[in-house]
Amino acid sequence: MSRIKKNPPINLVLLVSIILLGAFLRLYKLDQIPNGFYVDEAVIGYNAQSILLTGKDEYGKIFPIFLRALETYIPALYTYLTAISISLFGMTIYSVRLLSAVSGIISIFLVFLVLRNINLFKSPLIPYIGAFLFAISPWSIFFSRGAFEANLALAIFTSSIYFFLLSDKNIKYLIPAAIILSISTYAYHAERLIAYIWLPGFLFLASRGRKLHFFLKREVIISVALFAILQIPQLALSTTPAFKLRAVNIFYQEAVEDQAGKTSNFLPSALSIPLAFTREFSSQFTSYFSPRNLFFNPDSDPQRSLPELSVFYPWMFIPYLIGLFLIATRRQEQNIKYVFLLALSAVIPAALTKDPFSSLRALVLILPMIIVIALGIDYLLKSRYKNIWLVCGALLIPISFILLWRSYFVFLPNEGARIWGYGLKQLAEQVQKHPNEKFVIEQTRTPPVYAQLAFFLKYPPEKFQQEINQDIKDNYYTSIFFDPHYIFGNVETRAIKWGTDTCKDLILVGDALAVSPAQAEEHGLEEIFEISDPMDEVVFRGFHTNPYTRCGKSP
Amino acid sequence: MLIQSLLLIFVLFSNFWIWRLLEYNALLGALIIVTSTLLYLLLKKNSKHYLYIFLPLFILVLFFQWQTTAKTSLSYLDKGELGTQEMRLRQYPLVSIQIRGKTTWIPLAHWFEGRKESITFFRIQKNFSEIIDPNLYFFANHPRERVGIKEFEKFSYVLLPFFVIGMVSILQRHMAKTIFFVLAIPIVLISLIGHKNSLGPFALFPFFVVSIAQGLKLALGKLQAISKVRTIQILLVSMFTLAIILVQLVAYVSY
Repeated sequence: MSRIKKNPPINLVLLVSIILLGAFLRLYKLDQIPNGFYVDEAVIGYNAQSILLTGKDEYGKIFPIFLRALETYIPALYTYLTAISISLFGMTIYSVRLLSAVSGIISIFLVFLVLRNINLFKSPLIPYIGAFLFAISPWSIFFSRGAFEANLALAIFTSSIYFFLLSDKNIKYLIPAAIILSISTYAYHAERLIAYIWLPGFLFLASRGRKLHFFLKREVIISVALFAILQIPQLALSTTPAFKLRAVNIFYQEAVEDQAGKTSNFLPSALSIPLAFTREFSSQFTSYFSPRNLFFNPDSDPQRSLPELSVFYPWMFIPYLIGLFLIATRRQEQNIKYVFLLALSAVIPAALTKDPFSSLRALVLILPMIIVIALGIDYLLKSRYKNIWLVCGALLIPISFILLWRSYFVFLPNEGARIWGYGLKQLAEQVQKHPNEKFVIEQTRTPPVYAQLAFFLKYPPEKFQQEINQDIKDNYYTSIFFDPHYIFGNVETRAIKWGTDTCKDLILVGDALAVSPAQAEEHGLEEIFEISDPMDEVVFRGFHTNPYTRCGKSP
Repeated sequence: MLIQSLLLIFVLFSNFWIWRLLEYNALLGALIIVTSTLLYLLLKKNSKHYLYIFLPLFILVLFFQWQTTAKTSLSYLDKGELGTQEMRLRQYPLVSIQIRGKTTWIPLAHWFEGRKESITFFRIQKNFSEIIDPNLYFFANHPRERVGIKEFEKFSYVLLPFFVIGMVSILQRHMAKTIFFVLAIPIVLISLIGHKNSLGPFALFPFFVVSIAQGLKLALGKLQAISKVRTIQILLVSMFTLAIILVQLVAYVSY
């Protein structure tokens, strides 16, 4: 360990090795695993292409602040940066996911910097171990390998935390910290709340009780002012659905009302509703620190989780508990207070949403969790049984890789294919194979597919913008109506109209249950293709209509 | 001493868990109340006399935990699990190594999904994870309720911070002994026999009661530093809060 402290070349080799390992885990088969292309990724990809070629999104809106995506809005930074990778590598799945992967790789280095500057550890190895744990953590790997804006936001937020920690020693670093923090709010929804908890919280803690003296410092005033100025474009839209729709949609209002309803016979609503909210919020909040959710059970959303693997490896539970205990006993230390604040900031936005343990919305929590686990490992490395723990670590690392391989590289490409939109690339190939035929794609039973098809068909964005409902462009941030009915090229996405569609010359496409064998026979449909997922389950079936025999039309 | 006793009595009887246990079997409930009280005294006085009385009673609690649990073999797979196993066995790639020009196939799929040892390991891990979730004890496992298990309220959620404070305090003072007897043994036992028990993991009840009582005691101790009027105000507000939360939880339980 002393060699680590004194020998810069060894330190550098160690750090570069960790980053290279992290890069491999994030880039290997990036376009193939997850197996498919999720609708949210396609929306980002197609809009990035649209912005690259026309300077407008799919609706024809010039450089929007919030991107209209299906029935909601997303911060647009990921999409703008993806335009760069699309211009370099073309319109491919790889290009759309690359930014997230690169964010994950950069985050490894940033986590190292944070751990090195937080001054909590005795062992000089800990920043390397922490960066390594982050590099191999299923939580970071999973969100680095899909086009998740949250992962870009995590990288930006982590870099701001690094500057915040530096500012504790030299206040001039507060200015870049506040600027970067403000930028992070343009990357992902959760950061919009996280930043507003973290910044005042940090300033309060950093003042160390000398509030007036601290808050009147030039750097503090400039930092807060710059943070606020950078927020103006977003805040200018604060009254529109674009700003608040996502938060309203995912808040657990129904659950609170339902719980309050149970107590309506005993308590007035002025008490029952706040109590129901308190219980719901507390339960959600606690669940983000529960070992069951962090180390054993995967996220309950199958699109945001790995089969049979949680966000951290099960063995990390031991250093986590030790770390929590140390956090509790060292709570008076300034940097421990920052870790507390970081955890609070990360969890509060997620705990206000209805999904139980949303690993996506609480992605920032990975940073304080790595610090806590690293604290536990630091303690073990300084204990009497150091050698035993080192042997355990040497055994647990390969086991972790095996668990990761099993869940990510064996199960996910098969079990997760359908949920990740597998089959739409193959469907686009079928559309390209039949350029003179019109496709009607059944849309009532599946998530919207227009974005994936437009992406894979490389449909010209300028044409798409013209063919779309023009009213949306005029009421871009206020009109929240979303209609999955799209017509572009030879594709139409909508419900099949059995009365009229079968009398036209069409190719009807639906999932396994959209067209039953009886319906196919009754309407004289001829199956022309079938697309199955890796589990051999039918994803799409294509049927040619037969209007000549069915409706007596001449060919 | 009077306040501490009142706190212990409050924690012992203000939760839904003990009433469920008493309703199921008054003797079992009484045994758990006595065991919890003894643990409190043991941690407070650190006397061997209490230890000698506590240990056999605690072993009896563990026995009841074992007896009331619907035990299934750790390697048993039901119909659904067998289907998943079969599906997963097919997903593994073929892995082989060359030794002196001879190909040796490595049955990774069988090792991870088929062997009884692997199934047992993952089952123990699952059982373990279920009982170390704080939401199980303070929120009836909300928001991640288990499938096929009727969750029930145990402790009031307002007591969770006091549990954390008390647990840290206890672990600081009696780390190895406490962990081994009242935390590790029940957790190991339940991990092995399973968590399917309509009464919950009640072998952990004494540790929870003692931790919460200790946390409340420490919180009350902080009040000594402030004026009497302020102390009375805080106590009145706290009692009101506790009372309405109790009403809230009673309403949930009886709904």
